[in-house]
Amino acid sequence: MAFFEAFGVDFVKLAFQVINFLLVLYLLNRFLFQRVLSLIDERQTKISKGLEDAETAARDRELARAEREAALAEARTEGQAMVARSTKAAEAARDEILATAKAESARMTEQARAEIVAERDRAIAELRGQVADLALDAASQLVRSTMDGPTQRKLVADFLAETAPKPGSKN
Amino acid sequence: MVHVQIAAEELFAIGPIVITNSMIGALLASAVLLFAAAWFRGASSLVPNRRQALLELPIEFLSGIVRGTGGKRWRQFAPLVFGIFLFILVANWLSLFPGVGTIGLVETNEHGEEILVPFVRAAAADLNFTLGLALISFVAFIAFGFRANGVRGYLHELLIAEPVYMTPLLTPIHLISELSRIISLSMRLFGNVFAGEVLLATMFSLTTAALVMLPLAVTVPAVFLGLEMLFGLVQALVFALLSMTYITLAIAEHRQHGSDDHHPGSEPDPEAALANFAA
Repeated sequence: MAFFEAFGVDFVKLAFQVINFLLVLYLLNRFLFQRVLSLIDERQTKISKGLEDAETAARDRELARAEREAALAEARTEGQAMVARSTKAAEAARDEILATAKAESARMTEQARAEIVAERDRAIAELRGQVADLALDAASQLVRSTMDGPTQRKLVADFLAETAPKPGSKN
Repeated sequence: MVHVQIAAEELFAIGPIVITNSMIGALLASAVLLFAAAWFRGASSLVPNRRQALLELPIEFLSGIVRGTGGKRWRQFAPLVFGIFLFILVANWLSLFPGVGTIGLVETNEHGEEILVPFVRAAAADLNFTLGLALISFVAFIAFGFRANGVRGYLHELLIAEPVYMTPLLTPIHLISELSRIISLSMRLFGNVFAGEVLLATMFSLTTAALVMLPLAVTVPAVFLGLEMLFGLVQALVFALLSMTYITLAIAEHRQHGSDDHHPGSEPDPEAALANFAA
């Protein structure tokens, strides 16, 4: 006991210190420690969740990027196919138009040629008639003889038939 | 002349309770801590500002150690470890403030010498304070031992040695070892803080003894005040971590005997706690 007396230890002072500490500990635990521990837990949860979310977002972003690239590639392929189809269709249309134009041109040429030939034949026939008339006039004046019309015309036609060009020859 | 009394000086009495200057120191430390807790309660948020982070720092630091060492039950005794650490730390650092131990009443002792009776004294420079904390720590680790092991199991562990025929030799040693923890905890803290008080008083006396020494009166005590700040922190940590170690040992004894509470990954490791502290 002398030891305790020398150090000033007595029950009341000891009890005061113990009670004081326990009281402070109770209040600190209630208002500080539990709050700090819950804040630490909350922060850890949030950080873990944040990291997890970031990983998920990165995965989603990567997935979206891959999807976008796939869609772009598909669109590109489809576009190229459409261009090819359009080119082919345009070429076909061009060929068709060209063919039609050629055919039309040929038809028109042929028609023009036929008209020309007909016109020439008509002109030749007309010319022959005029030549015959002129020849008859000239002959009648030369021989001073009269002949009936049909006989004269037959003679001229025979003459012209003999002098007409052979089929297949060009005029 | 340097005069530092081992026992805390009595200031006044309220009924049967004699108030000493170390009690005032303990009450001041309590007030500081309660003020901080009240502020924290109102101002804390998930994203801390500097002041909140400063207050959270020691608790977060200690919770890391206690969580790593205390296993599954760490949350049950963590507040005690935090409380011991903060209370001792604040009490130690408050004792370094100007006026503590230097402002008081001049009285004449039984030898006719005039002595200064300071109004406030370092709380841990009174054995009542350190003994009280050591007793709380002792009761706590016994209680956690009972809780984890059961009263019979804990007493069996304490009183019956392995092998049994060694019981008469080992049990007294074991008992003395357990009880000596009270003495070692209380006397270590008291001795360090009291020695610090004596050292500071001596340095002040030496540097103010002569006019020629006065320039040293600023620099020399400042060095020792810095050291005392460090020692105050170390002593608070040592007391708190030893209390934690005793509690985890009491729980660990239970685990080592193969109970439902056995978790190999969460075995307490007092060495690891001290290594963490050293790191």
